[in-house]
Amino acid sequence: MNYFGEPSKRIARMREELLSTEPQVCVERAVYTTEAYKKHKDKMKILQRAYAIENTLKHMTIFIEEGGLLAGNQASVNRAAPIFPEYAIDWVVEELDLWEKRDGDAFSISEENKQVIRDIAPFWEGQTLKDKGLALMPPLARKCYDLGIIKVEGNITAGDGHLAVNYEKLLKKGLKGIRSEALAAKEKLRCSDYHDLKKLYFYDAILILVDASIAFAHRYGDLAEQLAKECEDAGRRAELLRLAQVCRRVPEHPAESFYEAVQSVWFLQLILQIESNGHSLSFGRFDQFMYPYYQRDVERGSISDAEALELLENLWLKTFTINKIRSNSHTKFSAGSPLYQNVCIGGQLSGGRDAVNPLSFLVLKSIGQLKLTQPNLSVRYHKGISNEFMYNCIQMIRLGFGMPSFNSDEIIIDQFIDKGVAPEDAVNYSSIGCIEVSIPGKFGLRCSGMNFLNFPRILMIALNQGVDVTSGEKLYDTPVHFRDMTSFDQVWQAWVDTVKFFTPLSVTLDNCADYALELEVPDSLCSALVDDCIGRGKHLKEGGAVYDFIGPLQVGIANLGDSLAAIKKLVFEEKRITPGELWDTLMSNYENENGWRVRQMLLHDAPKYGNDDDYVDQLTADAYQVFIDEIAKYHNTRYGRGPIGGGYFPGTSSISANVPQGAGLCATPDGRKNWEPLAEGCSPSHSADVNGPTAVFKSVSKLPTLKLNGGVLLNQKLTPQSLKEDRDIQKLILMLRTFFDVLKGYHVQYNVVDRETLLDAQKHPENHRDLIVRVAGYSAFFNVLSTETQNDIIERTEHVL
Amino acid sequence: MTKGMIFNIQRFSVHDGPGIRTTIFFKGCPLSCRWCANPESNHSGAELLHTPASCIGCQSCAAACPQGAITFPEGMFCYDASLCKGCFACAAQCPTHALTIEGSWYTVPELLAEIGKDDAFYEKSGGGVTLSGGEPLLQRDFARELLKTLKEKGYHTNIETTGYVETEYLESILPFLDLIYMDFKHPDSREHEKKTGVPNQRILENLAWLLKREVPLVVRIPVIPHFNHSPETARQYGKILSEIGASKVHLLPFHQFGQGKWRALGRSYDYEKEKALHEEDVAEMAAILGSFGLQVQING
Repeated sequence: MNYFGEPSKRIARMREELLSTEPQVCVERAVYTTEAYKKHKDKMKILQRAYAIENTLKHMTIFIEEGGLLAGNQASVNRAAPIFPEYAIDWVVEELDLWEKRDGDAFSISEENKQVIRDIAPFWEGQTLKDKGLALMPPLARKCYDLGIIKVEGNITAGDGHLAVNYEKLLKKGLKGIRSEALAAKEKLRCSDYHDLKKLYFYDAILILVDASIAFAHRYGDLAEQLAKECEDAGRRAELLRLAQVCRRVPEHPAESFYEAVQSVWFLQLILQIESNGHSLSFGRFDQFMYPYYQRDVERGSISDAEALELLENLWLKTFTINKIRSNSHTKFSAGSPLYQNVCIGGQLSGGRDAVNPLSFLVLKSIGQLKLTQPNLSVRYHKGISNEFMYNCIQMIRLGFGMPSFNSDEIIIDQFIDKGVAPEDAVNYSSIGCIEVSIPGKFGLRCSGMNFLNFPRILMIALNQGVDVTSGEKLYDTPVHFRDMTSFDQVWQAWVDTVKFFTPLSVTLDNCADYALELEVPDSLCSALVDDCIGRGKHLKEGGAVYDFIGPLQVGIANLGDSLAAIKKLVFEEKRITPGELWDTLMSNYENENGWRVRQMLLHDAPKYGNDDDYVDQLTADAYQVFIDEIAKYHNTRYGRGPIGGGYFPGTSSISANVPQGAGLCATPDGRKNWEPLAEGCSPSHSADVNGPTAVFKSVSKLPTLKLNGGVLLNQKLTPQSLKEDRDIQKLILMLRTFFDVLKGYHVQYNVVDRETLLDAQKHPENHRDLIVRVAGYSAFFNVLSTETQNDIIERTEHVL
Repeated sequence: MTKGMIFNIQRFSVHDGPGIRTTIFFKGCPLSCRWCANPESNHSGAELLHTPASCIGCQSCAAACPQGAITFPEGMFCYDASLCKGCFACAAQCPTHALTIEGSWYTVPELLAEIGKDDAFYEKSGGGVTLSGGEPLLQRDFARELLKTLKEKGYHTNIETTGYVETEYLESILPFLDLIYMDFKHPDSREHEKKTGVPNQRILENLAWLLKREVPLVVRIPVIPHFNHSPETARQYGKILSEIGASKVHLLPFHQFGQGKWRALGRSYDYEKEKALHEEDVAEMAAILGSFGLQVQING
């Protein structure tokens, strides 16, 4: 039974419908965008884009679901992914016939619509963000891009996303208020001044988009009224008339009820995802900015908790309808077509008081009842958060859909202050996407999620005298090949030199992407909702935000540390294998004579990150530190143009990039085979942690977390029976409190081990060495249990969930 | 310096006392319970354990053994403990660690270094250290030295004991204990002896003696099918335990987690075909014990 209860019949039916909807591709946005770009060919890009969104909002198919309480759809049918031709068109055309045949993330498209795409494609050839981005790349950087050593494909084939806009302001002032601000600023411009002249078009774009958004909402008002006229059920008719009224008021006017606040936020959340297809567009601190509206309605008795719950659940269903199609190659980096629309709850108010309120609990309940992949729920943990709230969070974890994840105030607020963020803003931070953080309404695009740097691949290049093993391309030069190295110091020096060589290349690629994004696809509406873009007359990519840092992502942290430890211990300290033998074994993918034995030695006889072993943990942290120090020297394209910051911060929120980045990499000295996935985020390598969760927490805490603003991703596994008793849940809470309060951990999320995983562990014990079963006075790993006992546990697992 | 023979140091133990704990498993036991979940704890010396799931049949161990104690008839690992002289060259050569040596010697400072790694977790959760086994008190000097040092350093200490030791010795370690978990495997001494190898008299006397002391004590009853799993036994337990003034009881339903280890040690196991018991299977016993005024908790 679900701890949070079951949703109402209406919501349950809508949920069921959505889950059984096969994702499609919708071409409407592509068509209306192309039409507007053609019509406004003479205009600046910023205006072309504004007209394109206006045209789309004006003509796209709109509908209101049967029983739906909220209005606003992204595409002509739910769960359909729009095409955004201005970002990239080549892969769209090339993969048109493949979308249905994909292993994962398949999308269907009609033959008719395929033709529509083929017809508009010629207009975009050479004109897209991707074309411009690629053309900007200097040769060496381009080579790294082509070889996949530094991955930025997602940054030049789609929008940025990764931010939360100022919904608090939207609700207080309405778009009407934003409009007046932009208009007032525009009126003060002196067009004789170059800088002011540039601003003129930004303000015009905002005005076009604000008006288009209001008109879009009015279309739903008319539709609801029309549907009401045709509706025979009096109850439903009243609902539709109320919806019509709400759509005519928001987002134009300030919200006056919880209902209006929910609808207003949804309209903008939606329109911003029609403006741009950048993912991880997040809600921000939802339980904070929405609470006044909820509280007021509750106080005046105009809303019941059941009504509020239905509105929230309808909002999450709407959130779930948003979809995105990515290129085949990029899909592997973001498997499961995720949009990462994050909802952040909990945390503290300025002064350190617990910010959890009745709406926070209601958000938990609503998301717990729906168990969907979107929105992505994050809880801001802090010392003063109540056990009651944590208990509810753990109950949600027990449901086994991976939510909520925890971010901790105990380190993140300090991280922001360390970067120059004002304390009152730092305390108001919000989770973005999966584990990243930024300041809602004040922070630039893509606080994290720029390039992906493949650390173990760079290590292999370092050992191979600058030659990329995968491609055979020589990219750099180091004095000695690993085969001829005589000390670990030489290995270390090669790593230091090589990672320092690739760091500026990664920044170059980011800058190329950012430069192209700035010129080709400015997001004016999004910018209008971030301070202080209107005041400065600059969109986000020009430096409009109060704060602007970006986070490149480093992949394979654990593999890097484990590899270095294996080399140091087995090759140079114990001399159990020579560098030459190890190198040959890796190049043969352990298939040479005795290769399997070498692999077992690498796997079992060298210390592994994740077991609280200082030898390897320190090596991992030190190797990472080289990059952290190096990247701190570089700036992004907004540096010196207004925002506080303008720099970089590293992070490891690398989503599923560990899979494709491993797929392009030869065997590594940590015992990993050719093409096998790398470790996720800052988690230990798959099943390398055999000392239990406290040891993992200790290992992770040895990384320089204060400098890893881009996120320290840690996934942990739990067997369901370990949460069976309340006393076990209380111990888990205390463990988390220790990790966050004392060890200053950044993030953790739990995957509850399901039946399938256990079945797989029976078949492939070597892949699940970290599965631990615990009972009184006894413990063992799952793989040493007899089959009968494993079967018993598997049966019980099904029973618990 | 005294050394202890330890076969496992388990962090994040959550069923062996309050909070998050590290449990130190001592090797050697005066009892030989036929259902034991940690059969590798029985012998007091280091011994070989073979995990078939990790064994790839490379036969490196057989090649390494000077005694010919390891053979691979039909490709399957076969170990004759009677030939083994305990050099463990085999385990050193095993590439996959399918062969492991159960038990190694630790000094008190070495154990403290391991225990100290989770200090932060004990402090926050009200946890600490639990001595388990085997029977920790069989290594009497080492156990006392360890407990004394732990207490001096402010750790919360608990012991899981069979209670099959001299009362004077128990008295000598009492000042260093915050909690005692004592097993009481059967209320009838003859039955007790049949399956554990020893009568229950001394255990019962120690239990009665300890219950008059200040250190809180929990009686732990492993509920074993066809042994003590019956309403009638529960009533006997209830009567005796209430008479000697016990208040807290843990019922630990029989599980099969040890099965793989019995096989790995090459020993025959009486409960091979027995099904695990679950919470619902011992609920009736819990209710009966409850009716004697005992506080009962199922599982640790």
